[in-house]
Amino acid sequence: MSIEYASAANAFDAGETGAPPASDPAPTTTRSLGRQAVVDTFSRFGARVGMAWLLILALCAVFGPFISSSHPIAMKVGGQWSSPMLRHVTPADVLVLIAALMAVVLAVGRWTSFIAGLSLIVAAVIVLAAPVYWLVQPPRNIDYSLYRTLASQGKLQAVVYTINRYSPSDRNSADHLNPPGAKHWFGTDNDGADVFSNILHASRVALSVGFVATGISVALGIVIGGLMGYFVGVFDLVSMRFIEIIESLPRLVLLVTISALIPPSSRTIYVSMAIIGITGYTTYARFVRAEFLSLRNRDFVQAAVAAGFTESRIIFRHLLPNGLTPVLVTTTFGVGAAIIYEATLSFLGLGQVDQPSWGSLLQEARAGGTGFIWWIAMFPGIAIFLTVFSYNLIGEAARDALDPKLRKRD
Amino acid sequence: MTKPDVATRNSKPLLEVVGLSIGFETNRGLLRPVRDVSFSIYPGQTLALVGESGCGKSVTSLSILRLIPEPPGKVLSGQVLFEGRDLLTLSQRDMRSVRGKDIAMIFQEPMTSLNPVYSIGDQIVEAVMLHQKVTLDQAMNIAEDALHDVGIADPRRRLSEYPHQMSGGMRQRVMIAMALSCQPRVLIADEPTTALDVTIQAQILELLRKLQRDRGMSILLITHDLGVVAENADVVAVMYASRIVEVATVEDLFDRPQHPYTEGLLRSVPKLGEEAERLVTIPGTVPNPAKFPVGCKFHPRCARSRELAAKSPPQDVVTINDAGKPLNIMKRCTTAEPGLGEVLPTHWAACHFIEGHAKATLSLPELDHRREVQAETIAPEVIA
Amino acid sequence: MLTYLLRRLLLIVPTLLGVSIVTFAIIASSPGGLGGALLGPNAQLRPEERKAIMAYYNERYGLNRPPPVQYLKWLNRVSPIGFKAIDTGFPGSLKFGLKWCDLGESWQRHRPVADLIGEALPITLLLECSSLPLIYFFALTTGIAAARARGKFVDVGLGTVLIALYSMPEIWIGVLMIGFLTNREYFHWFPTNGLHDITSDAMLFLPSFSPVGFQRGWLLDTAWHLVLPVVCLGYSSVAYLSRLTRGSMLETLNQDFIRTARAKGNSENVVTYRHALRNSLLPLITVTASTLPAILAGAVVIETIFGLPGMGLLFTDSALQTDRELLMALTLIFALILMISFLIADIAYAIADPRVSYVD
Repeated sequence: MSIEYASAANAFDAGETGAPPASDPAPTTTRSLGRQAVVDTFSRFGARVGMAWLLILALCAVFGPFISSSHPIAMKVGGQWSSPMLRHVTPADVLVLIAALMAVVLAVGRWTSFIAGLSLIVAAVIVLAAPVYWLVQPPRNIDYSLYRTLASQGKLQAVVYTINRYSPSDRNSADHLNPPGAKHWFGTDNDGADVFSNILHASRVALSVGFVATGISVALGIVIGGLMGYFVGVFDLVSMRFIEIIESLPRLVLLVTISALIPPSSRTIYVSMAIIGITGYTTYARFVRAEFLSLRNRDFVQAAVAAGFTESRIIFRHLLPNGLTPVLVTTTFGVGAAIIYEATLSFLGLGQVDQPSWGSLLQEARAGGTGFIWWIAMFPGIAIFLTVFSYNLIGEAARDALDPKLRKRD
Repeated sequence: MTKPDVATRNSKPLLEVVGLSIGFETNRGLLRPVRDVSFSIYPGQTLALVGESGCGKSVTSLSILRLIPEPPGKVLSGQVLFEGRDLLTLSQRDMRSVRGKDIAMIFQEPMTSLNPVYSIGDQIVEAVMLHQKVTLDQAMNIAEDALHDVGIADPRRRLSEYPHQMSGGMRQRVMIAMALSCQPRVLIADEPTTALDVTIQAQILELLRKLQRDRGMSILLITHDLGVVAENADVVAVMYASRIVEVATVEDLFDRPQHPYTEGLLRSVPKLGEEAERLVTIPGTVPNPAKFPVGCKFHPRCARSRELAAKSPPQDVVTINDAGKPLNIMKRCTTAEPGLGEVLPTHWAACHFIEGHAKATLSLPELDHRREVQAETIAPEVIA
Repeated sequence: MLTYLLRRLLLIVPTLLGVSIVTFAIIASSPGGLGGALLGPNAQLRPEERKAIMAYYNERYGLNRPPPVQYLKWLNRVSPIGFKAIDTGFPGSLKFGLKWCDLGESWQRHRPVADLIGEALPITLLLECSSLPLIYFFALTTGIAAARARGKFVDVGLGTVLIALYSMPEIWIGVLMIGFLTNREYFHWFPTNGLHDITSDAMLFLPSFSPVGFQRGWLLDTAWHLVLPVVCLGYSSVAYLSRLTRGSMLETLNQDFIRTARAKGNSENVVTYRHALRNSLLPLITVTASTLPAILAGAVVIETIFGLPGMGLLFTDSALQTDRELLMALTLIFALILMISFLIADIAYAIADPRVSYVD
């Protein structure tokens, strides 16, 4: 696992006997260790299945407004062509598109490492946020019934709809509580909104909450854990007590407490992400702290110090890569857990209110205690299940690939 | 300085391994770590199975007691005859009554070979009660005697102790006590002292010798240490790359090694009083079982083949690639695998270029021999 | 060992203090502030009336004091040692010593918190205590079976099914169960709601036969009501722990002393159950300590879905209503339950592993 150490040992070998060692030389860069981990993980069938579903989900999240919208892609009224769909595109949609495009380009071109690429995308989104918000301004009042009225009046000369013709917030009470059928593939809910559309658009929430919340947890965990493990002492003692306090409450209890005390009007998706993220850092902090504590006195660290490396160089280039493997495996499981937490909070009525969420849809299925609307219960639940299942499959594959203890004895 | 007990000499071997071949199913295909291995052990005899790591000696010893997990391992051919019965054909139930009772085994790592959550008394008593119809109290007494026999002081108290409370040497003694508690006829000792300090090593080996004398037990001693062989073995079988390449009495082996590998091993042991600048080594490394060379497995490293090639006509010589450099060796070594032939009376070796190998009979090596020298006589010459 | 126990029990106190401070801080920084939803139904009043009521509440509950003072007063009231007023009126004379813990009175329900918790706690404990043994039983048996059948189709198939189970959110399964299994439209196999039948007070304790037919009896009736909640609470823990057991068993079975056990002539069953299992349990006990929070939190969700009036339901209600006294007390009790469970797990580990001893 220790790359620098292995290369040094090989050099020693070669110098002594004059003959190259019989075994393969160790990899010489940190990057190939990470890449090797990814290759090993995705060589397993389970991880591939999981990735396939996640890619489908990502496509839904990015292209949601273009796949499922009440606004037609193009329509001709009174001889005039117009594109209501494009006119109603929100700044968030645009930013997501830009981020996705950048991700694809960077992944295919392989110009940067994963972390650098990620940072680049985040930076680009932040920088472009302001101009996009200024430029893209969809109309405030959305009238979904306009197109139906035009159609019934015969004024629509030509129209091109999106694949699924409903937006999530298009509530047509005439259609309320329809079971799945030709018009509404997954049926409608209490207000007459199309369930399929809601599920599709909610994929954005699920994916982003999963990633961002876990990202916050991991980042916080690495920073705090690293500081604790490296600069032991008072900081370590105090932080450790704080971690114990947080861990002495079940995480859901903590989440409910914090979320309940935020007024519904301020519960945005970002707040959800932040809360779920901040309450989850303790596992990662413990991992990184343990790694740092055990690595502090290891030989190659002392060698690095003797060679005159500065502290930050030691931390980032030598200690971190070695300690990150269990963190990696736990992260994939953590994303699945974050998605379930978000769904549970939404189910209890404590989630974000500005966007549709799979969890809140499940709550609707319980209309009035004894009533049960099976299509609102089945489909969002399946969506959550498939997403978490995919992450767990990838996590299990990663663990099989990376955990030396589980490797079969030769 | 007592003479070894000649009265135990018998004409029939106690344990015979005949043409044993073991295969392992891996995702790289079928590996064969043990191929056509044969040797015999007589009552009261110590046979040393010598070889480097990876030659297949541990797999051989585990297969005698059928301790190799069936997938991925499997017996490809051969027999393991104990008192005439082929152990490989026994049912699981019958095999279990052989293990621990007729044939016992001790392993290399005493630190991890004992169950950490049970007291050593519990573990020895378990071995006793598996094979003997005794009450718990009687079993405890047997356990206590066993500990006493292996030289552990205050054995009654030790029975309630846990493995982690003991040192490595003491744990190995416990292992021996446990293995011997049911009076087995054969003890298989797989590198019993490799993980121990040198002084403890000597104590454990002496203990084994004493127990062997007292009980007339046979020992299959697996080791890579020639010093251990010289002090303890009656007969030596040398293994290389899944095959036996030489079998002889211990005196014969050290006096007149026939196989170039054995020669190389003996030469590489530094001798007291010898002047040298560099240690003599056998060049190269043990081959990977997935990529065994064709013909004689030793040919890439064989000094004899190289020397002979320098003096032989070109049609008998072939050039091979030795880590990028060309090397001339005898062609016969790359085409045919030499069988284990009796090249001298009671001395078998597997090499084409031993005088008499072509005419030698390829027979099963059976040597009912006990050592005629004590350790002290051999020691100064061979063990540094 | 006794000193270790005492030390751990004493250490619970500062952690509980920390939890209470954190919870209080969270409540204090919420927009409702420490007064929370006291206004509640009175929010529609005219401004001057609202002010009068607020003034009354402030005076009564001490809400006009700064938050740290409020916290300290709460702490003093709740803790078993603290200041007692001898005479009435402040300052009066205060005496420091042992006193009753007074958890306060719920602002929404106007009942003492201790009473509310006293009613809710047994139900949650019933739910948890019926679930835990079942969870372990199923996890261990399936885990060991999977380890013994490693690599075969049963193992791989079971493994995938377990990962799938572990990925299903409890909210979904709970809603589906209620929807399909308790509904008159589908299968009415289980009762819809709650812990007891309406007629349960009139039932005998044990099942019996009467002229009318089979009578469930109170015991069986409660069990019948608990089946779905227990299954819903436990299935994902069973899946997780089963995978863990399998992994732990495989790791143990690879160790040297298993080879020694076989070489002694033991049968595979003895090797698995006597030698390997005992060693595999050790990491399992450690992991249990980290799955307990999830099982406890699961009670929150399950009670909400199935309408069981336990601590979880009480908690969600108190959080939504910002019922300060109740919320503080509940978080403390959750933390206390959890920490005692951790302690039990540590002691169990020390008993199971002779290498570990807490003797100083």
